[in-house]
Amino acid sequence: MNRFRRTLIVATLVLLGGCAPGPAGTGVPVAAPAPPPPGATPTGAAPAATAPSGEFNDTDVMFLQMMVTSHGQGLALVRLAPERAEREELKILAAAIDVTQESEQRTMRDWLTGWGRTTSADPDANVHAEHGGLPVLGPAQLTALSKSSGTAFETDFLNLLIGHQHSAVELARMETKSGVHPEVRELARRIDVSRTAQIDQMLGMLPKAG
Amino acid sequence: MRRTVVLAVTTVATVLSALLVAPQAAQAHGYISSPPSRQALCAQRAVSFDCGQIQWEPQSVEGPKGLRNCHANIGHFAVLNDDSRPWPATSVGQTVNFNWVLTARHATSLWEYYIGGSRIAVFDDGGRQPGATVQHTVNMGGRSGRQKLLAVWNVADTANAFYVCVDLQIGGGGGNPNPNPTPTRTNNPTTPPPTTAPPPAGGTWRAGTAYQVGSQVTYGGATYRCLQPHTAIAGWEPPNVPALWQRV
Repeated sequence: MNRFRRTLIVATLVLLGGCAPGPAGTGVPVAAPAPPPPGATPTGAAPAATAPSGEFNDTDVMFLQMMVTSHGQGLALVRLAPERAEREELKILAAAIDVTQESEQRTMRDWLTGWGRTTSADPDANVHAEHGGLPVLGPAQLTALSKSSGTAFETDFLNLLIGHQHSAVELARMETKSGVHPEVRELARRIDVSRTAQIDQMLGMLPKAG
Repeated sequence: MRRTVVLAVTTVATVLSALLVAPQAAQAHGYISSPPSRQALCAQRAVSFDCGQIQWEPQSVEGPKGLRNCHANIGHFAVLNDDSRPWPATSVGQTVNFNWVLTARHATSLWEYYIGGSRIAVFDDGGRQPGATVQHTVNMGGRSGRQKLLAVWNVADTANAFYVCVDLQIGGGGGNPNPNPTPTRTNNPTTPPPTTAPPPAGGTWRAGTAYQVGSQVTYGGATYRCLQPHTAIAGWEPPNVPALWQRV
C-alpha cells in the first residue's frame, strides 16, 4: 500500500511537473544530476559548473524549490516597505532582507539548474497544506497591504513578515533534519538563525498595545 | 489511506505536503504578537529568565480544544504557564487590539478571550479561513490592575486549538489603548540593542551593531566593507552575505 501510494505520488509529480523528487522517489541520495528539463541548457554547459558537487537527496531539492518560491513571496512583501512604511528602522530592515534574499534566491536557482531540476515549487505548496492551511502570503494579501500606509501598514506588514519568516525557519529545519548536501544544509542553518533574529527584531518593532 | 491516495492525485499541494510530512511532523501555527504574549516575549528574549524551547517556536503552542492554560499541556512549554515567573505586563486601557501572527490560515471556528474564568470576548469565523492578518478589538469589561488574559484560536477542521497568554496592566476607565514602554531586554545574545556603528576605521563585526554603507569590519581575519545599511544579526556574518558586505 505504501509503495502504491508512493508510486502514485511520483507519477503525479511527473505529470504536473511540480516539485520533482529524485529518480526513485525513495529519499535515497543520488549523486548524478537528473536529465535537465526541456529547454534547459544541455548537461555539461555552464550551469553545471555552478551546482555544488556531492550527493543530494529529495529533501535538498524540495527545500531549495520551496525556498525559491517562498523568497519570491517574501521579496514582493518587503518591496512594499520603502513606499508605505514610515519608520526608518523598518525600511532599513526591509531593504537588507530584499538584497540578501535576492542573492540567496539566485544561488538556490543556480544550484537547482545545475542539478537539472525546476527552480521553483507550486506557489500553493506549503508546510501546512496537509491540514487545510493556506499559505499566508498570496497576491490578494499583497494587494490589500499595498493599499494601506502608516501605522496600519507597519503593523500588518510586520505580522505578515514575521509569519512568513517563521515558515522559512520551519522549511530550513526540515532541511537540516533530513537533507544531506553540506552546502544546502549550511544555507538552511543560516536561514534558520538569520530569520529567527529578524523575527526577534520585528517583534520589538510592533506597537506594544496593538 | 484511501483518502490520502485520492488527495494525492488531486492536488499538487497535497502531494508536496505528503512528501514533507515524512521528514518533519509539521504543526501549524500562530500566536499573539502585540500586545506581546508570553511566547512573543520569549522569542524576543525580553524576559529575565530562560524560556527554553518556546523561544525558537513561539507559534507552536497547540493542543486539544477545551484547555484553559497557557502551554496546551505541552511539557517543554510549561514555563508559559508558570505565573511565578516575572512576566512583564503591558499597560493598556479598557479597549485592547490583539494582533496575531499566523504561519498558516487554518479554517477557524472561534477565537476566544478569557480573563480569570470568564470569557470576555468571542469572534466566530464560522469555519472560514481567516485573513492573512488577524486583529481583534476586545473590551476589558471594567477590569483593572494586572490581569492574565488567555486567548484561544480554535481550528475548525481539527480537534486542536492554539493557546496564548498575555499579561496586561489594565489602566483606569480610558477608552484608548495606552502604549507602554518597551519591556526591558535583559538577556539577548543574538541581537543586543543596536549600538552606533564604528567609523570606517574598523572594529570586529558584531551582531546587534547598526552598520552604514562604507563601515569596515574585520571578521575571521579578513576586512569587509558594508554595502547596504543594516543591523547585524547571526546568520548575516560578512562572508555569508555578499549582498551586505564586500571583502576589501
